[in-house]
Amino acid sequence: MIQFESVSKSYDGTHRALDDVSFRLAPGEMAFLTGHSGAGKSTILRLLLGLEKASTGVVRVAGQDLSQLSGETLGRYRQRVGTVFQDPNLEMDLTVFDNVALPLRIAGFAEQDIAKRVNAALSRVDLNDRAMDKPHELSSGQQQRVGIARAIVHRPALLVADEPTGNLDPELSARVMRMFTQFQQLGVTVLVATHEQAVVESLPFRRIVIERGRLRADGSAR
Amino acid sequence: MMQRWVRDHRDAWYAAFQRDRHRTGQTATLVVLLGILLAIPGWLAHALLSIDEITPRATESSEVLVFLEETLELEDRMIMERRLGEHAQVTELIFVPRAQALSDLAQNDGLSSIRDLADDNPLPDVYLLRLVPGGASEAERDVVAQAMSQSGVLAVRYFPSIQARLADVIGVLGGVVIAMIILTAFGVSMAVFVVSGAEAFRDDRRLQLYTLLGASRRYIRRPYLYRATVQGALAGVLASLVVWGINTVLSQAFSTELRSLGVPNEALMVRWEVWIALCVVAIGCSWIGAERAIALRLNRMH
Repeated sequence: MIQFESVSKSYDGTHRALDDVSFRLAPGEMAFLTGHSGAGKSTILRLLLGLEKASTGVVRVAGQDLSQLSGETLGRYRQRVGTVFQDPNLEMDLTVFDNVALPLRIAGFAEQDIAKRVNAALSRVDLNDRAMDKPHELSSGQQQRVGIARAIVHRPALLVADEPTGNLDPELSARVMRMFTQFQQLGVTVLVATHEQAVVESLPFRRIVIERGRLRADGSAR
Repeated sequence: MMQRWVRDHRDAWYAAFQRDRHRTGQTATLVVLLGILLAIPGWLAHALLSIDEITPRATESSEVLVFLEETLELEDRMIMERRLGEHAQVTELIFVPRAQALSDLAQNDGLSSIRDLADDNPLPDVYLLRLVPGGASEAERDVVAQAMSQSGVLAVRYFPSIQARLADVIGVLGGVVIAMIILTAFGVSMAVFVVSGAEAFRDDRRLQLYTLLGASRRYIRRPYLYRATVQGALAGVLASLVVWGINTVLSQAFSTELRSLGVPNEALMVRWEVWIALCVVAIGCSWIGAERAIALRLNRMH
């Protein structure tokens, strides 16, 4: 599903954010991308989301070389990827329902499909009863779950999460991670970038460790 | 397909108004600023069109006085008279001998004693040329140039008609109006560009979110452009109201003078072309300013 082949990324030709990183993630696999702040995790995610282009090497997702995408093709690619952020980045003017429906509206789904899919996504994160609420009426944990529902509502084949538990207490973190595990069991490829060792060690998934832009370790949990 | 198009545009309008709802003060300030800015060339354009409307109604002729040298022989004067009289712009040519000029001058109040100078008359002989009413000022100046080029001419005085003077004003004012329209259009675009740029900066997270969700640039820009269009339309209407207000006040203040000049009321009314031009310039410039600001922000983001 995801293929990094000798990928390097440097800014202004001097600072190397990534240096010759290679790894593969099979379809339906879940992995943690770990490392200290500034190690290069975010750069990997930005490359995966097509926000940056690799200086050298190739990034492929589902066999597609991302450096070849631009404009509309890049937009269509992003419509097939689910993204969860540390801050759910919700639209405060919109209801929970409309926030979750955003990716579907952007992708041009019909209103009937939107209603079905949004309700299904909200029930996955146990927020059906809050569909008409505004985000400011929810707790931070609930807001994060709305962000997750938005990331999975269009049933993406790839789910990318950037520090998804950064703002949550341990109990909520565990709940969010259980959700990711469920998505992986449904066949979604999940890549979770986190520096929280407790989260990583609580689950038996592969760990890709990045240090100073280089791949330091890549393997299963102990 | 059609449903999607309608929904996308409806959502964009909704998002545009949602933003205005939260930024009423900013929107109102911008609209007032743009409205006042646009009213300046708007009023100048209205003045220009009014003058243009009044100009063909004037029936007065321009006049040229050609003062002759004392030494000019009769034969040479007749040649000059024939040449000047043949000019297409000259409708009437009157010779005023110096004696008659002195006599006419003496008929003015307080100047009767000037008759005593009859033996030593200081005034020259004069040709009075009356020109075609409504003639172009360039053609009239050609008459003056021709008169000056004649031998035996002491001096030439040109008294342009109101019509000719208005035509000159239209020429100058036209240039000023065009320059002002260009400057104002630039100013309006820049004002909207700066405000939209600041708004896009504030909305950075929103723009990033939409980008990551795969929204096209067109989709992302749409609410900003609709908002700019509404602001531009409001600014255009405000500018039109300012022009109308100034015009009403000035027309009433100078109503007596304007009536005495025979200026009809309809010549002073703000024309629909001005209303439309103000709205088009306001909407167009706002749209361009917002489009550039958002495009710049999105370029930096990718």
